[in-house]
Amino acid sequence: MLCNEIRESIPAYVGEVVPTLRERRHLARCPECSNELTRYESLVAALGALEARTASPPAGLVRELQSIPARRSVRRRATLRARGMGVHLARNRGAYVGGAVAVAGTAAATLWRVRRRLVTA
Amino acid sequence: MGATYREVYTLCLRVLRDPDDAAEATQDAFLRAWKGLKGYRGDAQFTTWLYRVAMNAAITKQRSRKRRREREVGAEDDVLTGIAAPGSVESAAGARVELEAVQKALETLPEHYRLALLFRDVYGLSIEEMARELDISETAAKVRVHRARKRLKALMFPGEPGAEQ
Repeated sequence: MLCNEIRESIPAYVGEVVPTLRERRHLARCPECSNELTRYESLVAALGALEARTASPPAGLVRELQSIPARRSVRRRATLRARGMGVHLARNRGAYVGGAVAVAGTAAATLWRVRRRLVTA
Repeated sequence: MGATYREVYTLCLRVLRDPDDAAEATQDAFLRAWKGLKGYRGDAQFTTWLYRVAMNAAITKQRSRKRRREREVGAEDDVLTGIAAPGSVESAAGARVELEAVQKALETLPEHYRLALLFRDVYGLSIEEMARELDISETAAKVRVHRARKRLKALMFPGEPGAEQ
């Protein structure tokens, strides 16, 4: 019987599947199947209406959400500063290494002179 | 943000059924939305796009909660009554459905059916989006929505044909 065939498909007729001409004709003539479809249409409409029914969020959540752009700006500036420092060091590696060697050499020479004076004294 | 944070929080609450987890998922959703604004092409309504981001955040939170083997939060009364749903919907044929009753019935569905109806019928996301977020095929997503609707109808109208589930 067509009712049994169609009854299984009725939930999908609401926004998912388009019934065939044969199925639409049956729905127009059969009060039970037509009522079944109406039930599902009402249920799906009610589910859709729930979207606008909202809960009250916990206190403080709005403040947290409003701080998101600022948090991201601060983090981005810190990241950019760290990246900038890294780029600067990479580009001037030679000068920094050379400078470190010069400082180490000067310190070593000074230490050697001081020790020599102490030994000869 | 002001017009949507309540909707996003409620979406997360409906998925996670815990106010603290829902608040965390809401923050995560807005963080991702802020970061991903460049990727919003305007091909979908902004709220639809935001719901998609929020669903992803809520489901990610749900998965991490399961991985930590936390106790699954049942449909506690304070979670249900926190979402006000007065009123009813009347179809063109005159059938009236009370929203409070639908909301309560939705909360008692098994999780996979509840998520299917949240995705498709409450928040209007596509089958494709649902399949992607839940990591299932589109066919499986369609079947899940179909069965979820049948289960919901059986809960709402227990004496009617098809109620024997």
